[in-house]
Amino acid sequence: MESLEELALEAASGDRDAFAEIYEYLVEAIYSYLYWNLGSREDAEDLTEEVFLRCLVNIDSYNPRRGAFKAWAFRIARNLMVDHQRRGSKRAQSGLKEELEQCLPGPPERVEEEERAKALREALEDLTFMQRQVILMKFFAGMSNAEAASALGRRKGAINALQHRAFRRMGKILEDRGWRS
Amino acid sequence: MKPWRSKTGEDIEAKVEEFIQGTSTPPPSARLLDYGLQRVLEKAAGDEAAKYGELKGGSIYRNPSMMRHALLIMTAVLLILVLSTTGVYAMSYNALPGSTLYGTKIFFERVRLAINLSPTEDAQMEIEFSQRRMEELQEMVASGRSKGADRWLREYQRNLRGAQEILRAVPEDEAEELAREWKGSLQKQATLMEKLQDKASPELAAEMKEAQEVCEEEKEQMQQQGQNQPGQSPTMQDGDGNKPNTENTDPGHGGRP
Repeated sequence: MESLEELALEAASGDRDAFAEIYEYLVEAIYSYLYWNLGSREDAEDLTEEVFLRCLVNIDSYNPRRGAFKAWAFRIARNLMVDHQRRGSKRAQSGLKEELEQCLPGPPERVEEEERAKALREALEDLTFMQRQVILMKFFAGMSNAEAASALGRRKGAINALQHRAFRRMGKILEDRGWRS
Repeated sequence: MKPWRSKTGEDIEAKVEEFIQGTSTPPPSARLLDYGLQRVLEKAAGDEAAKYGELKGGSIYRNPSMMRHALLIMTAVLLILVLSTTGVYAMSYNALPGSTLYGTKIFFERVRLAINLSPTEDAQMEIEFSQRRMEELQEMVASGRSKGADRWLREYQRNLRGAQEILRAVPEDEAEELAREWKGSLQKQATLMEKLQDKASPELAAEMKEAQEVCEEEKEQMQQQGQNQPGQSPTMQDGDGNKPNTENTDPGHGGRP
């Protein structure tokens, strides 16, 4: 498979197949990142489409020398998510629990999964915005430190520090709740 | 980085990482996976292309958190500037000639004149500032002060000349009223200075006498111009709207020395 950067250059010259490959490669990562930020599956899906639309419309402005394509796409995702949260989504307010009830598998696993997701959600909510973005980008969108740094406009060292502080905070919350890995 | 230990001595970072990785995200629906791309391509190419064209051009590389910081810093700097300027302005408002803040007071007056674009308002301001000079004079006499008297005279002369020049640029329909106001002010100022001369220190009295002469000169000049160019400018008419004549000049003040 070609790199995302190569695919982006092809897509910029009008190759729709190249863009389709980018979509296939990134769609779940972006959806996952947005889902844990917004707490709503439907909002996350709508916004994921919006992210790809913006990627497509602006793809000719992507500059590989300024960073990885994935980081560029996640910059768009983050900016859109921030704008979306500022506007305030009613769906997001209904919370994650209802979403989980609709989509988690069979009863035995469901209760534990539900509790686990709820605990994680609470721990994430207790983080600062930047700490949360680092955790979500690294562990739900599978990004490297360098990619997360580029997407968030921070230095690589700052990403490590943010992750370290986030883990300490989350660890305390999860420990208080009696959670084990 | 040194691992952070939980109460039971476990490496909490590793524990949290494991916990996160063991938590699954609800999968996206087929709507997104199977038809999302199609919708994106349609939106970008179809009827909505124009609408989405608006999305183009925005900087993807913008960094909202840095922009927010920059905005905060700019706001703080602006606030400090405004507060310090306001503070200095307030402190200098009652400054007398010879004091450190008198220059600042005069500076703010000039700034007000410079940023105002209406000649009518400029003329009114000059009249107001000449009144302020009179207030300064009264305070200086009351406190027996003569320091800065020469500066005071310079500023007063500047106000008189400024008002005279600006009055020429005032539209005719407003000039008559202003000229009346200006002449009234000059008269009052001349009278006040005459009264104060006996009470002032010799140094201040000398400057005041010169100021009074300049004041009379201004009045005379306005009247002469009105006589030379009858009906040309309402600024040259007297307070009642009549053409001025030299008999109206207060003989007690003598005019030009």
